[in-house]
Amino acid sequence: MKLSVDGLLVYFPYEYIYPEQYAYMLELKRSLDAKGHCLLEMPSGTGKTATLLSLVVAYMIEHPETVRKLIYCSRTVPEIEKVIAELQNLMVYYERNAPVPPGFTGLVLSSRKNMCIHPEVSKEREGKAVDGKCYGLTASYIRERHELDAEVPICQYFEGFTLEGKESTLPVGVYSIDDLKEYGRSRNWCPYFVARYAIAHAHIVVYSYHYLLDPKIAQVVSKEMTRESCVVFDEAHNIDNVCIDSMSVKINRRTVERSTNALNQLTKLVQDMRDEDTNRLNEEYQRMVQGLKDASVQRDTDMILANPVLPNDVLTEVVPGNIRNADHFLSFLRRFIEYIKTRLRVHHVVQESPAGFLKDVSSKICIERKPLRFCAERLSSLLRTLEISDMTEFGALTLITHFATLVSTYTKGFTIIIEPFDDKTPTVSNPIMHFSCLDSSIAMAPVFTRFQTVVITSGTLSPMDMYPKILDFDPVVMSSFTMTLARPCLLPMIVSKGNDQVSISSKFETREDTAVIRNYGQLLVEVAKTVPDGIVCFFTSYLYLESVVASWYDQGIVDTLLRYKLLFIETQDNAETSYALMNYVKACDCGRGAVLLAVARGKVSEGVDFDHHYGRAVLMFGIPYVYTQSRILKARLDYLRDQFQIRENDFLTFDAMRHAAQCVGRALRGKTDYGIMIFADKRFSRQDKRSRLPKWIQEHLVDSFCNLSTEEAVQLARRWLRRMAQPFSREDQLGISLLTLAQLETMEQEKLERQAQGKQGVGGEVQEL
Amino acid sequence: MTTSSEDVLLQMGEVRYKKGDGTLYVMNERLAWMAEHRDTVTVSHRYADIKTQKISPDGKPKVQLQVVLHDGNTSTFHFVNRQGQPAMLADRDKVKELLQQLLPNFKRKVDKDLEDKNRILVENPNLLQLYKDLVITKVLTSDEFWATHAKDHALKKMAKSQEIGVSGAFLADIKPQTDGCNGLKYNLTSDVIHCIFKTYPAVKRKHMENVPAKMPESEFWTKFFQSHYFHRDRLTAGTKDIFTECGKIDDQALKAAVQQGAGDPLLDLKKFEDVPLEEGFGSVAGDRNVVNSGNIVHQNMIKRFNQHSIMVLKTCANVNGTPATIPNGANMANGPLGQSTYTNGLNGKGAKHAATDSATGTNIDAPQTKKQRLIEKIHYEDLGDPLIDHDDDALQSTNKSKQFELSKVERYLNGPLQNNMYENHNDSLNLDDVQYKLVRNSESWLDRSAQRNVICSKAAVNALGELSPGGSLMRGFQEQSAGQLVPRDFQRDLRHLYLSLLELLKHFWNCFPPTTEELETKLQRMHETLQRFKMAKLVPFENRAMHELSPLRSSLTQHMNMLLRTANSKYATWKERKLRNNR
Repeated sequence: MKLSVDGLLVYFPYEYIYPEQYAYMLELKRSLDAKGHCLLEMPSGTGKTATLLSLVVAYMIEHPETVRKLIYCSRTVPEIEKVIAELQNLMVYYERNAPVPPGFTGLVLSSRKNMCIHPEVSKEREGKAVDGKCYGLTASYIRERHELDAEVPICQYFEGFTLEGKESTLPVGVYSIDDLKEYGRSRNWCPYFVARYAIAHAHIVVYSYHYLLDPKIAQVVSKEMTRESCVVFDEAHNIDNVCIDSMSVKINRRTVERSTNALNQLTKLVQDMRDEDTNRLNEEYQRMVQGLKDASVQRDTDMILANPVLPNDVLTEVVPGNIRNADHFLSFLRRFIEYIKTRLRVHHVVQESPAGFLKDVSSKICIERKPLRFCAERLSSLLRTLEISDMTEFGALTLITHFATLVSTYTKGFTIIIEPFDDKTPTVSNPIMHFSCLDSSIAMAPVFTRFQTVVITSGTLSPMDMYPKILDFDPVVMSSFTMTLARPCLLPMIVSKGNDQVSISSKFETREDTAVIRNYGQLLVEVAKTVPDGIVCFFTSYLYLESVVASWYDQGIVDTLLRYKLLFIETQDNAETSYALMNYVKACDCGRGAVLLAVARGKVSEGVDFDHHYGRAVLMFGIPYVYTQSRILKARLDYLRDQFQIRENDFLTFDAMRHAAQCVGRALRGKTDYGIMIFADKRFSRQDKRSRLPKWIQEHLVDSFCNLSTEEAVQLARRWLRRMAQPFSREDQLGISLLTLAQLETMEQEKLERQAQGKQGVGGEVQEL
Repeated sequence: MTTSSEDVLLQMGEVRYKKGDGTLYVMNERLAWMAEHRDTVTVSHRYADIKTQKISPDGKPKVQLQVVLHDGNTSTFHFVNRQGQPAMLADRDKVKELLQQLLPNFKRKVDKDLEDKNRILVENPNLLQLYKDLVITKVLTSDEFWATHAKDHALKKMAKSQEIGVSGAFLADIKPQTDGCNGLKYNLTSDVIHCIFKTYPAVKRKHMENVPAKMPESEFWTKFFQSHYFHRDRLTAGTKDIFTECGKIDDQALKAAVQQGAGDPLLDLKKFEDVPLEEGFGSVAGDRNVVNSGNIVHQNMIKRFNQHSIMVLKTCANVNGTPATIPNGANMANGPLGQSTYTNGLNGKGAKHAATDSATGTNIDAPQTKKQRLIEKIHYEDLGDPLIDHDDDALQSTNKSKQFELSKVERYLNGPLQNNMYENHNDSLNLDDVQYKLVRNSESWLDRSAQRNVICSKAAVNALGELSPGGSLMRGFQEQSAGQLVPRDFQRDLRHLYLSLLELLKHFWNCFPPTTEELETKLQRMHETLQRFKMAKLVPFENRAMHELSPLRSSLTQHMNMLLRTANSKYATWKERKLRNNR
């Protein structure tokens, strides 16, 4: 349908539209108009992606000067591919219906692992191995060598691309990963580099968060994005952790050992090279003296070792004199590694600030801050000079130099924690040095400043006021949308006690209590008896899952459960879990029904949808608090309290509830879908927890569902399921939760009239905070 | 016993039968043996009774010939020519060759078909009764009967019986009991054993290898119950256990399957992460899940649970695979023959999954299936289809996998309209009639609801008492139901009549709407059959009832007559319409 959103003509590739989709478009347009950032929460399964894409594309057509580019970041590869598929739909719709097709190019960028078409390299399963092999075939010095000696293998696809592809532009269209591969194959061009070049001028780019947030990658990939871009972070409920992870470093004894080995090897290589050909080393030295940056055009295949710090923090000065010489630099590194080794030899936990660490460094081994900041850059230059293509051995050393650069660049928002042993095994010495980022806004800040509009959206962002605080930005629009429903297709319930009236809770004091575990088991068995098809259960941690399953086995609950449904359990091995998942899906498909036990914050809870019969009920056993004894977490909590005035408890509850919401939200992927959400913990019924659930769940969680026993919950579920199983057609929804164009227009009319009379908008479907 | 008029075709001396020496006679119509120095035939087989003859293999010291009779008995003749082995063989061969020539002439044409039919009738008493009522009374011809009325039974015989699925908890169902002296007793049923074998093929193999060669059955199962299969928290560390190897085999199979990957790109967790953090980067959230709990027993148990569920699931996947052709066969019964290439129902889902399954093996069509999965995922059924058609290959593959298979194409294309047309016109009750009745009925409803002043409860109870058996108004009443009034044999006959009539009527009504030539002729035939049935069975029964049960008389057959009348009128209308149409 073609609809007008606040005067903007939007092509929406479907015949009908949800009211909240329209509201979402309105809000999004407002923030694009204001050239500001926004935070939008819309329930999963209400067609967020399609809405967003159609509005932004329409906006780009209408105001080509204001928004030139859409950068869509999502989290997992399947999500990214879904976005591209939606975009393809939209573009085909434009072609069929618009007077002038927009002529936009949209494409996806993914890692080499997913895009490589080289017959041998692409066989590798590990991303790192693919990268390594690719460097080995495409690095500039390898290609130079190939010119002298045809025996040296190179990648034909990359050669094809450099010969013809660089100057040509990608034909207009939308390219998924497979399309790019196909295109690459047909032209004999490397799809990865085709995409890398094309994102500079493409109108719509879809890729993973890391390409924008992780400075190591962002600098390489996303350097040339224009300011007039609209950046979308979808599934952004976890964005702060992504930011933090990309800037935190862990060093253990093995890292140190390996880097020492690498250092020895480097020394040897430098020695050899000096014997053979001093020219190259001299050249490098000269380059540094002059402060010349490497000509980047020729080197884009070499940049494995981008700087770990943010672009604005990279020093533009010349490399300081004491590390210009290769030998000097190596001995400099050696000293630094020795220092770290001594620091790891502690017997008690040490926590200090980067400044304190630097001071200690300077007093103990006389290394100043400035050369440390150049560490990462200097090493990458040296590796390039030495023409090393196999990077696997130098990973640890690179990590150390990254650490050096990071620690000397940032004095605020980071902390150093040295733990001599694991908390669970205090007798085994296993020292780890954590260099931990505490402030997610550090990585996020350049994105906010650089781009005109940043949209942060997800199905579960509640409580929304937390995100602007922890990401440190100022949204112009902040909205949470509910889900208009023609029938109550979700049934959230809080089960607080078992049939024996023992309250159930995963809190630390009672979690190992057999009564609690038994009650959890009985709840699951009862639900398995009642609910058809698939049931998914989430536990607070993997450890808890293991111990509960073990007790269930002893108590015979597993056997009873098996009478009703098959049982699959998430393990720590991804491959095994994938296989179990596949079988879970099969069991649901063939009507046998199955139970899946998974872990909140695990892979399953983050990336797999359990729509329709794959998940008719989700049980959340306990509140998924993060492990609160962790020192890194404590440091972060302190920092948040000092810097942003966020109370410890607030943050912990916020974090737990967003994960709980994320877990239960897996079951509901659309308005025709239906699912039961059981929160099995007494503490959920407290107001501070309940009020932090997303609005669309809270709305259906009435007071009478907040303190149920197992039996009561099952009774309710039974009655509700019977109702849900009735046929449900489009006609039932029309006018309530689904609108035709005509209905939309009349609704809009009414709304305008009401606004003219100074009243609120239509029936609370848009609620601004 | 022997009739001397028979010609003896061959007489063979020195043949031993049951340790007695004698002579074998090959005659015109039978094979006979007479003991030495006797004049009566001891053994005599008519050729018609002989099924086959068998001979002892060459090289055996005894040269024998055996005849196998149809009833399963055998007679063995031992050739004992004194001149030695070659002579014996020669004798035997002579007899054999002669028999070979003779037997086919007498071979009773064993009608396998007949045997089958006989068996079906014996197995289904109802069908037998039907057969008696319909075929023997000449209402139907035998062929007709078998072609239409007993087809299901004939087919059922061909269709494999449904396999019993495996319950997920079959191991838990084996409840151990204490045997009173510090031991446990497990009760194994053949069902459970079957389940175990089906779920754990490795155990089956072990069973075949070991039982009964190396150990008795009971020991095998004792070991099984001691193994990790039964106690899932037990590690496979035991080396003596014969099941250790099974465990290894299972583990390897699982590992191989895991290695192969999930197949579905949306479920493959390994491929979720686009750019994994480099080693050493990351902090809190990341490493919490990597932390090894250290409790290997629990992890092992979890693995076993997964494995068990996967194995159980596999058994039902195998079952799903084999009978895929059977529904087609069953559907053939519904549709007229000749159109059987179409089957009803949407096989989309199954086919699609087959496609994904095959995609795991070959990566050629992987992008296709992936694309299809994605399109499925982003499809919101209530928003309507995206207003575009995927003209590219995605749709083609969709088409390929979702075939709409029909047993009656024209029925699908025309819809049920024709059907309505027929039904509306010749409903036995006409519209006015119905309306009238409705009005009458509704009048009485009004009365009832308007009537506020009902009689008092006491009076009502009194009246009820008077009207109950034993009350003053019920003096002359004898509590007798039809069941008591009608004698047993009548009841039985009545039941049989119903059975046959309903069977016939079923086929009669099945012919509607008669859209094809074939159906029309069948309809015609069925109508005639019904008439015949009425004359041959119903009318005699009525007469008999009239004779012997004067009070009930026609009430017994009233309903049957009504059924027949309805059918007749339907037929008449159809006939009339047809004539009119033809004109």
